[in-house]
Amino acid sequence: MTGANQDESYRLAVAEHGEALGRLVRAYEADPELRRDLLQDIHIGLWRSFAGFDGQCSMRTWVYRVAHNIATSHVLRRKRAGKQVSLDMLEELPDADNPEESTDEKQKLEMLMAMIQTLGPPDRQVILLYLEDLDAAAISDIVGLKPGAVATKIHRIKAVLARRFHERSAP
Amino acid sequence: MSDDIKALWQKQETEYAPMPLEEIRNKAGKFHSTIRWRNIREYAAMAFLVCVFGFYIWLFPAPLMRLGSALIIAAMFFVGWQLHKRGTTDKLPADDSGSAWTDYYRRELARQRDALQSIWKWYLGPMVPGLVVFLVGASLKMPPAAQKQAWIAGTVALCIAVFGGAWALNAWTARRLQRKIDGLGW
Repeated sequence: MTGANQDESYRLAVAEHGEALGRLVRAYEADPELRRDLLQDIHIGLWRSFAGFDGQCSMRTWVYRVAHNIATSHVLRRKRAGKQVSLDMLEELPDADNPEESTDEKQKLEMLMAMIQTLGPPDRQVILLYLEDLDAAAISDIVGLKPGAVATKIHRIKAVLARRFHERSAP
Repeated sequence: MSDDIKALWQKQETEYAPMPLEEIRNKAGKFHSTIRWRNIREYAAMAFLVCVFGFYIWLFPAPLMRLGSALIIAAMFFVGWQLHKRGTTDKLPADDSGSAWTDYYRRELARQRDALQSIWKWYLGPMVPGLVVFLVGASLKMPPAAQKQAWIAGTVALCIAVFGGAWALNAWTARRLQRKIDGLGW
């Protein structure tokens, strides 16, 4: 890819997915200073990566792959990562709070963020992509898990979110 | 239901403005700043030790102590060359960052494991011959006395503790990473 194409691809990617990248780093890094560094690393990595982008996958798939991969390296470099849990464990854990009492969206969002930040790989990647409204096939393409495994995880994610946020399906 | 959560997630405010392209280009060359600073610190420590053991060659008349000092200096240059070689090849994950996450994650764990396993070969190990020769030379030069044996025992114990401790810690972390790789269910 030529330099001009690389720049253009980067511009398009940021215009399309820049906001999602901002949300993604919030889920990977709680420290604001380090979060800024991570976002910068992702932007630089994304721009560099477009030199090797051959169009074999969609731009959206490419952007999310690069972003999640760089964020994963960031997490692995951080030594003070807290204890991580899987979706299975999360289903069994008691609720820490009772958001039923609160309609405060900010509080709900903080709880959601805290929950995501405790998830280990690859559950964290799957839930983040699910929240960005990607379907199982697209998530499978980005994460590299089989579509069936992603579908199972999405099913569990829905159950956890329903229980955590006390929003029951209609009877 | 979960659509509400998705909407909540997607409408959250993010506090970051996009980076100008010019800034990205400028910073792309400095991407590995943490590794570069680590290497600069290592080079500075090595330069200091080269000066110290160079001074020992001049200071101590015992041939074994001089030979040991020279071997340690040679080891420093070897480590410096290795650091340079690894620093220039150890790029940030831009080259394969477009690969599927599971492949990338496995490679990242393996890369960290390999780095820990190889540290003995190119960092700690090369210093051992010089250190041993230097210590043997120093012990031969000491007058025979009760303190001599205690000094030798203490020095050897300290070296074993430092080098053995570093090796054991690295080996333990490498095994932990290997267990993590083995446990990946994909």
